[in-house]
Amino acid sequence: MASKVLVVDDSMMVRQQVKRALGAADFAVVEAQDGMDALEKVMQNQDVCLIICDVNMPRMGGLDFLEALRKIPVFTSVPVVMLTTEAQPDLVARAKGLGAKGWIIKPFKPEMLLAAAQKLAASKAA
Amino acid sequence: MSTVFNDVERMLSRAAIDLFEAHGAATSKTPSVEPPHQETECIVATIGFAVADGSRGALVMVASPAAIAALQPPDGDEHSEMILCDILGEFSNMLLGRVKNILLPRGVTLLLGTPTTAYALKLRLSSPFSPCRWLAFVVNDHAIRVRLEVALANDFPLADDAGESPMAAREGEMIVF
Ligand SMILES: [Mg+2]
Repeated sequence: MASKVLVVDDSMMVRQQVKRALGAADFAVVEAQDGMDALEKVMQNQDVCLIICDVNMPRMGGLDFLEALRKIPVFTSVPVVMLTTEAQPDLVARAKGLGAKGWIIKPFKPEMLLAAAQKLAASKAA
Repeated sequence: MSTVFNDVERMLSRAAIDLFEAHGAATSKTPSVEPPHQETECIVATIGFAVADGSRGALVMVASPAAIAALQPPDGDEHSEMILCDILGEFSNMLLGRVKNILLPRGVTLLLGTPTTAYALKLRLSSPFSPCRWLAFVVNDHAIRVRLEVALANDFPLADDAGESPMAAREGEMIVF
């Protein structure tokens, strides 16, 4: 069965680019357009093995989503990679503190994202 | 215009060229222009920003559908207005993000909003209350215009670039925790 990845970004273009990058491997992609939407999507897809998440989004940003996610018992350790234009050290530190596995600064290289996704999905499955 | 405004304008110009070139687009800057009075259809994207000292401003990008499609071909055959709005919105986000990353080592941290976009016929932008300037670029043979608006609370001095960026990584890179 394909590993399920949740992609959270307010830009449809970015969600499509991530989907295309992951399409090279056997991933099933679920999309969410902001943090609130992502909280609903994870509850409907508790088998997600990786979350790729933007930071600046309307309604609920990526770091607030990550904080809320970690309070849900089944998601305390699901791997999360932030994908954002931001590189502000205190934001990066907050993500790290909330157990994120990585931080990618846009625009991303598809092969780099795919390699990271494969590694993290495998570690989650192990 | 203040020297800070001029400095930020130069950073924006550099960031825009880097961003378009990172997407494989042949890019050149053209002399500053007055507000575009677009007679045909165009897309506009804007993001507001603020600084802790009370300074605030906005970035506005204006481009034709053809300019956007040449910069980032939309998925599939669909060139709907909403998809083109989404693409320009994300470019405005990446552009302001780059300006933020240039300003970080100079001691200024921008707090960024999220993009608002619109599809327009005969676009007329009103003049902002803050000082503003238009920059114009030719990207893949199409015009893309960028307006910078900044209301400075103080004419804050930009620290000399310490050389060592407090950014943990550069655009296109990944930090592994
Ligand atoms: Mg975003």
